[in-house]
Amino acid sequence: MKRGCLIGLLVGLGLFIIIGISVFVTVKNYYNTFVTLEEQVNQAWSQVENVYQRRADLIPNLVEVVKGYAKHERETLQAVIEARSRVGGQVNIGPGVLNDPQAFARFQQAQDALSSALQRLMVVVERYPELKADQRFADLQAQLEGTENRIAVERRRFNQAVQAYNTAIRKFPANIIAGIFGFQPKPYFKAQAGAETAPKVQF
Amino acid sequence: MKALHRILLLVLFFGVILTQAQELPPKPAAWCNDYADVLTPSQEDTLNAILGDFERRTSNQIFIAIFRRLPENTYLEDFAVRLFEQWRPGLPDKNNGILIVIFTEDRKARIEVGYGLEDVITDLQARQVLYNEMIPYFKRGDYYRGLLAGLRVLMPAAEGKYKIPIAGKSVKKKRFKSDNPIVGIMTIAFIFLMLYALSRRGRYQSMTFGGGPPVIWYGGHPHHRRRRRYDDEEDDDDFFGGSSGGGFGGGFSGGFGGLSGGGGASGSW
Repeated sequence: MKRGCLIGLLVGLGLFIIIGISVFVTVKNYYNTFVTLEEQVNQAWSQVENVYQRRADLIPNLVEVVKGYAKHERETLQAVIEARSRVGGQVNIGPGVLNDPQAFARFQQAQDALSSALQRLMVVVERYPELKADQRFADLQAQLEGTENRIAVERRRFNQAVQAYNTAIRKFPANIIAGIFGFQPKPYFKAQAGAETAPKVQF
Repeated sequence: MKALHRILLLVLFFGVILTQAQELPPKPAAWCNDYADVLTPSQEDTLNAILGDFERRTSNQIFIAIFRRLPENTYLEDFAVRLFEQWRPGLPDKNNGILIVIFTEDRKARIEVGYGLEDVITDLQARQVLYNEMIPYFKRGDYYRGLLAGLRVLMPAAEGKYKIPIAGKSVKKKRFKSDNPIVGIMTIAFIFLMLYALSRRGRYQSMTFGGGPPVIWYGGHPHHRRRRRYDDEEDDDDFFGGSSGGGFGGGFSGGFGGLSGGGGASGSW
């Protein structure tokens, strides 16, 4: 009698331990996967910030060179300078912005505004052959071109990393564990709102 | 300078739409890959010999890809960086790869520079190599000479940074089994402890357990494996094991090798 009772107790305890361990290991694996994926998102984000910073750093020189030739484009230049200064407070804000969709939207808005302003500037400078002949300008333009390309690349990689992360935390039963530990979906870069109505530029 | 406008426009207008996977050729076995049939076999052999020797001497990996036309729905820079992701020239920890892409019928070319070489081959330098060394030959349809002329500048520049000779080919893909044993050990220890405590208690309460050895019950250590998939990333999880954290690159194409962040230069003729 007592022996049976003890064996029953042992088996029950064993089962309890097995279930406990299974739950623990499952949660642990999910949790660690989330952490890994989130870390990849953060890493991709820091690259995005790097390339935006790189662009912001180019702009003062660019404006300086363009100013020398294109004196009549005060308005366009001013727009670039203003967009640049708005971006100035937005870069290097850390991955914290990824948990704040509104701050993220503001960041993207400021960067996209700078992109538009730069684009307008680059259209305008086509009218100034002496400027285009300036070696400093040609170099800056090449660097800007490379930087815009890097921005496109890092934005795409960031979106890929976010997609992997968001997919992982939204699947069942991962979403329960993600909910318990407070893993939130992260925002993507979106194509610029209203881009389809933007003025057409002829090359 | 139209490239800048194009990129700016594409970024603005399409943003991240242009991400759908296009058919990219799989990672090749050779360094020089002429899909447009503009090189003779002996020219290809020469280029392969040069680049193979260069890689063995310095570990820098330069790939060449010659196509006829760009696929639809993409542009040169986007195609180049994704082909780079697919082929992964360079070593994973050094990102010391270069990819030269040529589109003969579009009359466009790009030198895509890996992260690790961005400081020794800047966008400006890549541009100069493209326009001063390569494109003059490309204009005449002499892709072989153009490539040779470009490599004559690119190789010493890359070699200036990485001079590490390597014995064999680049690192093969390894599957990391960084299973964390501590949890397993602790769990087993815990079970032993419990059983031991239980058996002692049993001994006090009754003699049924006698002086016999405590039951060694090896619960919770089944050698069973389970597969779970997170999109592209798959982890082999031991029962006790931790999930192995794949590298950042793992999510993109799975191949091991270098990455580029869009550095380099494009040109047309």
